[in-house]
Amino acid sequence: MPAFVEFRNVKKIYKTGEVEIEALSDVSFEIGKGEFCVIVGASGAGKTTILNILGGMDTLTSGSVFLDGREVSALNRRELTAYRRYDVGFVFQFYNLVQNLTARENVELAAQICRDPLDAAETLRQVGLADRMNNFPAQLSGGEQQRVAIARALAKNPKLLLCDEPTGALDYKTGKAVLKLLQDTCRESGMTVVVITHNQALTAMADRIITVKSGRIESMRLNGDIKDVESIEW
Amino acid sequence: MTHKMLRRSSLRDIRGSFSRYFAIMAIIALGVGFFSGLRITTPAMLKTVGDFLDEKNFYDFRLLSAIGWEEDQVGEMKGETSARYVEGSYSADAVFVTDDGRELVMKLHSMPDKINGISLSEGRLPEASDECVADAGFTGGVKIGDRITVSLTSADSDGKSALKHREFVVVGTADSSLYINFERGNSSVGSGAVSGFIYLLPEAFDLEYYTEIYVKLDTDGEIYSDEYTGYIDEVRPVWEDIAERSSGERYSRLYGDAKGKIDEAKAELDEKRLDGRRELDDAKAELEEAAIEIANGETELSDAENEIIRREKELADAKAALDEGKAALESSAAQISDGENELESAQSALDAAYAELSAGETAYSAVGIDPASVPELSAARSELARRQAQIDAMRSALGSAKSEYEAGYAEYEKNQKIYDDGVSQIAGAKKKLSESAAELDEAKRKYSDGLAEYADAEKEYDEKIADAEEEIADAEEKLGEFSYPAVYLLDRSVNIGYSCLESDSGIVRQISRIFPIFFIAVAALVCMTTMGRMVEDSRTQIGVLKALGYGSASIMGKFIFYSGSAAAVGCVTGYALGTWLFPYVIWLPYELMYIPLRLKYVFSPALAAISLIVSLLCSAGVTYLSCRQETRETAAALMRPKAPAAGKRVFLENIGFIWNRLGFLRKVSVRNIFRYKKRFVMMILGVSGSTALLLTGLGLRDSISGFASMQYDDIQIADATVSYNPEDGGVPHELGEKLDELGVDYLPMYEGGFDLLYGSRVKAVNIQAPESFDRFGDFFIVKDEKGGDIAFPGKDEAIVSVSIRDRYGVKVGDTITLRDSDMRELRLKVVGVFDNHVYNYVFMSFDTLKGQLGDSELNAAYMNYPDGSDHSRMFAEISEADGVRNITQLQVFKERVSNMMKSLDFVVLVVILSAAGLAFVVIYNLTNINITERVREIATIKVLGFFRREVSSYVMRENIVLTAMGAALGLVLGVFLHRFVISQIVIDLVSFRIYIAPVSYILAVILTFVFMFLVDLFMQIRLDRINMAESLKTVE
Repeated sequence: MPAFVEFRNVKKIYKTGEVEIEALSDVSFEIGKGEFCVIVGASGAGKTTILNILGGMDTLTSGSVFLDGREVSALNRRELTAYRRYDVGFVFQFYNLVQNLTARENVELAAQICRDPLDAAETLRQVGLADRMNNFPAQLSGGEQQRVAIARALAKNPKLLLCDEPTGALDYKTGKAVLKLLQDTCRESGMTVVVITHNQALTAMADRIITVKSGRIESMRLNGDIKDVESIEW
Repeated sequence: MTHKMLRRSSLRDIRGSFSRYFAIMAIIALGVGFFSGLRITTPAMLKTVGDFLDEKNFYDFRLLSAIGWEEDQVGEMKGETSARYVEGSYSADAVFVTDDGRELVMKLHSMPDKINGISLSEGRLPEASDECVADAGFTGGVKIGDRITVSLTSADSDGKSALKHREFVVVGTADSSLYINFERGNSSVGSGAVSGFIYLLPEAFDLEYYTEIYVKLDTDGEIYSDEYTGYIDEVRPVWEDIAERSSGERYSRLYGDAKGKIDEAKAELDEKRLDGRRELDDAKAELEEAAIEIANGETELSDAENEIIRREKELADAKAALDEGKAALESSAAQISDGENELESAQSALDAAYAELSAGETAYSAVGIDPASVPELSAARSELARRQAQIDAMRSALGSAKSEYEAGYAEYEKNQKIYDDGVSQIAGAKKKLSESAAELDEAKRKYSDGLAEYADAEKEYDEKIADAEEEIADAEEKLGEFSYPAVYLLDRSVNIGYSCLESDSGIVRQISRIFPIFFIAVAALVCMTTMGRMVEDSRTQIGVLKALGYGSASIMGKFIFYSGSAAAVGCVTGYALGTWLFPYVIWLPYELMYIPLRLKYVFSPALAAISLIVSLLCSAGVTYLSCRQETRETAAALMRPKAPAAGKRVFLENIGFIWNRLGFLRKVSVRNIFRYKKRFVMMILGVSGSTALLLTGLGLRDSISGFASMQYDDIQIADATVSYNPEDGGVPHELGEKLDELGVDYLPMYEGGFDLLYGSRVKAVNIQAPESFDRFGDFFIVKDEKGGDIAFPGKDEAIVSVSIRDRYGVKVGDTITLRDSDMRELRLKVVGVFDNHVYNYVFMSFDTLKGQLGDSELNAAYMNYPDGSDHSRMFAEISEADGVRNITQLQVFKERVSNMMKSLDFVVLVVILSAAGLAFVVIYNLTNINITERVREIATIKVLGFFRREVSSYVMRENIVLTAMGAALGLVLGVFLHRFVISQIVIDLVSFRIYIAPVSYILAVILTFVFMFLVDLFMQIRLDRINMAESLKTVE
């Protein structure tokens, strides 16, 4: 089976004035469809750059990126937007909910622009927020907000769910619950989930573990011993 | 800010957020520019004109007296301590005729020495008494080199008697400090409408006294200032006394002189009466003598005739005697000559006898006989001797007869001569006689002539005496009427130009009181939101600084420096631009109405200081308020992210049927709009302000351009007015016939200019007093402002135009006083106010006018041409009639007025540009803040896959809604602002109507949106620059 996500010799150089910073130098990896993948690395290793490029938020300097056989790195700006719109779901560290919209509306915000969205209320029910649907983000706890964010990502019915430190702003327990939700989603709907984190402990629950260090892939391995979220400690 | 790093950080902040810095700068510059620019405009205008007036030594007092002033009085007044200059001056009104036959009413002035100087625009000053300088702003089209002639046909032209010449050459044109605006006042001569002024050398005036005295006081107080008016009020009583006294002295002197003259005349009359009588008597005596002489002559003549007759008779007798004597003489002469002949023949015979004897004797002797012896011979001899004796006796008798004859002849000749003498004597006497007879006839003729002459002389004498007596009586009567003269001490406020400038410049002053506050408020709000946002953005930084141990003051200083420096730069820029641009642009239209003067730049330290303080308050002060709260918090609290403003349901959500129909992108917008109250208020304020300004500006143009058509299409509907030289107090015969022939409908009236007295000032108003009000409505629709009917004025009543009520505080029920240039006054009760936009009209009945003034004439008429007639042909036809002075075609006038008002477009443009600036800065700033505040949200939706257009509409939709709301509110505000501004704009002779065209509403809204879209275009760039990676960042 061909790889669902593929990075081929991806290089990314940021230019700020005269200074050139090589964020990624020759990154190549693959992720299979329906996998729960954790990209792990220390701060500044380049994992966010990978996420940006994979999420269609940033362009690369050289190399190529494929999703489901389509070369993401060859898309123009408008196509990239469409790509983000239809193919990728995002879960941010700080949820990035629109403060002015209720939980349900936040989900609808994403769902409305998609071709084949899931029902917003249904998605929220799935993430366990059936009764908080009409609350504003400010009225929700961090975990609840993150669930809304996940619901928002899911409702788009994307090909790929990208999560940037989804537990970063959450307490331990809540973080676990969110991770569980992500894992369950992956399992139940066959959604490809990519979680980016600096937390090595999370690697235990992943199907695939990619370790990034200084702009390079240090290692990429399939997890032979996948654990449930509940059993992971950090 | 003593800390170097803080300073560096501040400078970097500025560089890093230049658009924010610029926004503060721009709004402060705009606010200050508008504020200072409008505020400085009135002072700048006043300074410009004030300096001109100072330079030209514009008068402080003008002394008028019905009897004029003398040189000596001027000299005396010069001695007054409060006087800097005192100058006597001549002035008169006159009707001039140009080369092409137009009649122009002119104000004549003598060339000033120091006071009320003129400034030459072209040509030169007059050097000869028949040269003149004409009005540079002249409407009559007289050029340098033209000759103008004082009209003699205009009976009421007092100028023709006041001037030495009838014809003047224009050698230059000038502006006069006495006429700083376009108004030239009124005149009681000619058509009454003054076309311009003329300056002549004082020598050109044929006047024995100054018509007025101008006084320039020893003060340099700013025009209209309290200082100046205070000083004037202080010295006024002094000068009133001087004027009264001087005039009184002149009066007494004139009275005395006149009285003396009358007495002298009386004495002279008495003398003449006697002289004349005596002369007549002498003549009479002479005549009588002559009559006697003539009688004597006649007697002598007849005597001489008799004598001649007698002498003739004598001569005839003498002649007869002479003729007789002559005949006797002739017969005796004949006898004598016969006797002589006889004698001769006797002698001859004797001689022959003697010879024979002798021969015989010889013979005897020869023979020797003594002859004596021969008897025969002796006998013969004795015979012969006897015969000889006979002859000798005869001869002697004849000789005595001859001498007798000769004596007789001598006697005859003597008598003949005597006779001849007598004849010639008679002829001489006869000639003499006829001569004497002729002489006598001549004497007789002379005598009868003398008699006639005498009769004439006597008649003349009687007449002359009577005339002189009458003259003296007249003079005495006049002297009796020669009452104490009215004396006027007039100040500058009666000068129309000076008076107008105060009210005209007041418009800007009024506007400068309202508009700038608006701008300053917006500027403060913009600064507040901007700085509030900046402080909020810098929470963490503040926290860090606090944690590092910096005091609140230094931290606050950083922000205050940021906003304060932006404001200071903005303030300086705004002040410099505003105080230059606004006065300059606003002066442009005024320059057309006033004399051309270069506007002076006025720097007001106070205004600059106020501007700076206000800008600093708006920026630094506001920053202080925003900062205070932040700096009070603990470092830890500051470093924790501040919870974003919570989402809230808005009222609209309760209205299900609207809310449910909105896509929720729209719902987001709706909620966002109400999420930030401050921004909402600001945006609404800023946008509504801009729209209101735009509407005001556009509405101003509507009001300005519309009033002329309103005036001439809906109010003053007559086709034309004609002014004429009245004949028998009314329309000239020829003109009347012409009008009837052409089928022109006309209504005669009196039209003239009067000064309305209000408070201590005067204002020129136009009076129309129609012969009858019955048909007045055909020419002028008299309605109140709401279109209601007004009753026409009755006896001693008047109705006035709206402008008179609004500007000069005249109300229905008031009694107004109007004064003409001869200082005659009308007092009228105001019974109505009618809608009118051009000129200040007062209407009354002609009877009222005549009743109060005594001697008014109908000198003008409204005209309606027949339907479909060619106006210019009508104009030409009517112009030809005798006595026509001037025809005003109201439609032509309408266009001219409209054109004049186009100058106000500049002001409108300023307002529109300001509005654009305001709209732009406000919308720009708010959108900028909006975007900055929501970078994360925008980045997120970008990540969510919103297309570019969707992203911008997500953000800009709020702008559209806010702009729409602001614009709607702005329209309401604009209506009021427009009304206010119109009520403040007092341009002389014209009052605008409060009217905004529908298209202006639309345009104001469209323009507001255009500004918004322009801002949105700018902002699109910013939106594009928002990096999606922002969404991943930690919340600061």
